Amino acid sequence: MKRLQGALENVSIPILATLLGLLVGSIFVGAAGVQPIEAYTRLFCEGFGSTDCDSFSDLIIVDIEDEDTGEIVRYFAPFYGDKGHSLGLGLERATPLILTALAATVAFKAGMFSIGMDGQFALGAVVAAFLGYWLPQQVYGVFGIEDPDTAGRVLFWAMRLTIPIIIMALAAFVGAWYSWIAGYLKVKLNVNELISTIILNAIAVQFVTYLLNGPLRADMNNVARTERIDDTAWLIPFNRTFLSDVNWFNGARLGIGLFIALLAGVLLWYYMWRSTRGYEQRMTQGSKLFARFGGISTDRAILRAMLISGALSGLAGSIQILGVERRMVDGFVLSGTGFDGVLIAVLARESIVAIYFIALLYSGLQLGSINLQFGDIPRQLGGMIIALIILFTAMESYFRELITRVRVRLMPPASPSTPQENPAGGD
Amino acid sequence: MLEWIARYQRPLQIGGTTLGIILLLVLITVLPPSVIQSSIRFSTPFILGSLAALLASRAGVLNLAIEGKMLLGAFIAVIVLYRPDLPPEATPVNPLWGVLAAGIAGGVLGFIFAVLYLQIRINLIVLALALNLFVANATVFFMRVRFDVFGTLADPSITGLPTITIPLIQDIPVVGTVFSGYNFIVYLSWLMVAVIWAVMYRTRFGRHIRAVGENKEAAESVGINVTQVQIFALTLSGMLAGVAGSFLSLGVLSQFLENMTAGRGWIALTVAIFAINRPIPAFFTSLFFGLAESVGLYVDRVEAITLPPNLVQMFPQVATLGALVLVALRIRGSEVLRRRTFARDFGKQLDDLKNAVTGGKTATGD
Repeated sequence: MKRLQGALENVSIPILATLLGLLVGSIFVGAAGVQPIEAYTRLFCEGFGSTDCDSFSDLIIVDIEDEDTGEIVRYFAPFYGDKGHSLGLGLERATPLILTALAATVAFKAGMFSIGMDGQFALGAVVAAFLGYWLPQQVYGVFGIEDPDTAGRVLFWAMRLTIPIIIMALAAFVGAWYSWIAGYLKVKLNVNELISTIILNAIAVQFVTYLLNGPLRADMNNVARTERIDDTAWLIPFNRTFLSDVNWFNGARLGIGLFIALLAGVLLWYYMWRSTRGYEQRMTQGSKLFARFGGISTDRAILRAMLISGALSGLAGSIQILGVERRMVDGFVLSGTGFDGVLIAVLARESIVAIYFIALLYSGLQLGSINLQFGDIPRQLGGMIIALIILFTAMESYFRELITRVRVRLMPPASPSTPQENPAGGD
Repeated sequence: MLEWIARYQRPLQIGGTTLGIILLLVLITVLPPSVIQSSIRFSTPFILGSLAALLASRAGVLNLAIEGKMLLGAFIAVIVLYRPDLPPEATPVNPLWGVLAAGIAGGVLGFIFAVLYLQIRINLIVLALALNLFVANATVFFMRVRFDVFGTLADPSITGLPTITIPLIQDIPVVGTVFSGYNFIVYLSWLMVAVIWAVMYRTRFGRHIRAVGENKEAAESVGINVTQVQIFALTLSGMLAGVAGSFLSLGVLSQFLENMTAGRGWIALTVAIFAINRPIPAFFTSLFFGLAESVGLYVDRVEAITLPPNLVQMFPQVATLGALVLVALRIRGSEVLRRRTFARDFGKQLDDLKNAVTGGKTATGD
């Protein structure tokens, strides 16, 4: 019973915060001269619905008239997408967010409020963008192949299977050690991790921008960009291969990356909540001194957490390049995926299942508001609503306090802690 | 290493500062005057922003929302002046009103920030990130909804701040180019360095701020209203950040661009960290950061130099990380030094005591 109540509270608070965020957001929608309900219908349909969704109920169940028989068929909306579905695009956007949010969670769970995911993400991405074309070139060079199209099938498949893995591993490696710097400074010199990660982010962004505009620049295109990655390094989206006739994807570049992100979450859950080392890290967050008395090396726990966190962010960057963008374009590093990950981790309150859903909600709101722009409302509405939702979620403890206070006033508890009128005394 | 740094911290500090000043002087003589002028202009938002950051930090609140407050200031300064239907012959609104409005708007946001943090008890970092996100989106939202423009808000009615030339100084060869010919906010920022310094070290309020930042409980126990002091400090910090933002929109371009602060608020925070939250070092650090930014643009323009601008701009960031490490080493070093001195002194006393008890003989067991 108690457990059920706890679970209910955990679910209801984010939902309440979302509703409150939407409610306050509707003031701004109204200021823009649009009916809030209409605008929100569009927002959610564009973010989470199929192409012919035009009411909130269409998000769950759609009635479609069969063209041949004229019969009306009922579909569960997320699976219906004969003309395309926004969920595909939403999941594409959610993939890096899930990974960076997981990265943030690992760091938080070891008591490190690291916000360095942005820098690690950028570094991981640049590693992938560079190796994505450079590594295959080297392999072709070793085998003396002039034109990649003439490569033998065996070599092609061998490369296709190994190169993405190598690249992702290296990107994760680079991200991990970049994140390690902040952990090391914290452990050895007690440098505030927030401050050091802010600076490390700035350094990484400048450095990646330099690489992009300098040595890695492919052509004299207006916007600086790297060379496109080789086909063997590409994590091919499903709708480009065996699911090419499924319209549901709506052009979403959804591939193995999503499964890597989901799997990373499961593995992380096992590591954090079912292994000794994860326990050590959680203990470090709970109470450093207590953990130390218990014989846990908190320094090692922190460094391990930072390494894992950085590896996940670096992996996120490499998946975004290998699976979605296929080349790095100027402005990529300013996308703020790392910060979004921090915010999602905060919203999810360090629960991994919640991260999946909130990342999807987050990307769906972004996506929906981008398409809203075709109406009268700027796409910035999405960002404002997200900010409001975050604020309301963060007010949670205040709300709880308020509820307790009201409850106490309505029904004063008859507990022994309340001072009694005439002190009972036998003497 | 640790001990060494701790023992020679004073000479190291003086040496570092001298080296910095020499470097600054060399650069001033080597670089063309236009670069010096532009670097001082670039440093202005950093000066005001870092003052805002250090004021909050000194009151014990790490203010990560500087970026959002600056952006709001930049936006408000422009919309106060924006009169698209103004006939061409009419005089536009004095831009100083824009600066004032930006300061007030920043102050209001700072106050809201303080209330949300101190009264509603929202997590500081989450609050700051959410506010930044909100302001970044809300400014563009209103620009589109209210004024129906995309990306850039510019109009002839938005006039930039006039350049102030100082009568006598401008005729002196080098000094003239360095000190004369900027707009109001630049001089205001220099003044503010002195004002904030005076407030912090010469007034009751400043002492209270420092006391609160040093140890909240101790400050409370001597009767300082901690919440009030922090709210004041954050409001003041917001005002400074707002004015810093108005420099970006009115002092340079006379227009508002989408997300025009472009991370300057975060850099201002770094400046404050580099200066260990002291106003006068923050001023020189800002100059250093401004110099790096303008040199970055300069080397990009000049054909003969092949130095990538991003690397030049990265340099002060790396230097800040280095400074952070050095400061931490110093703190850790003095700790080690203190511990060792204590152990030595205590050991000596213990020996004395032992000698007194045993009468000079070592206790061997008989």
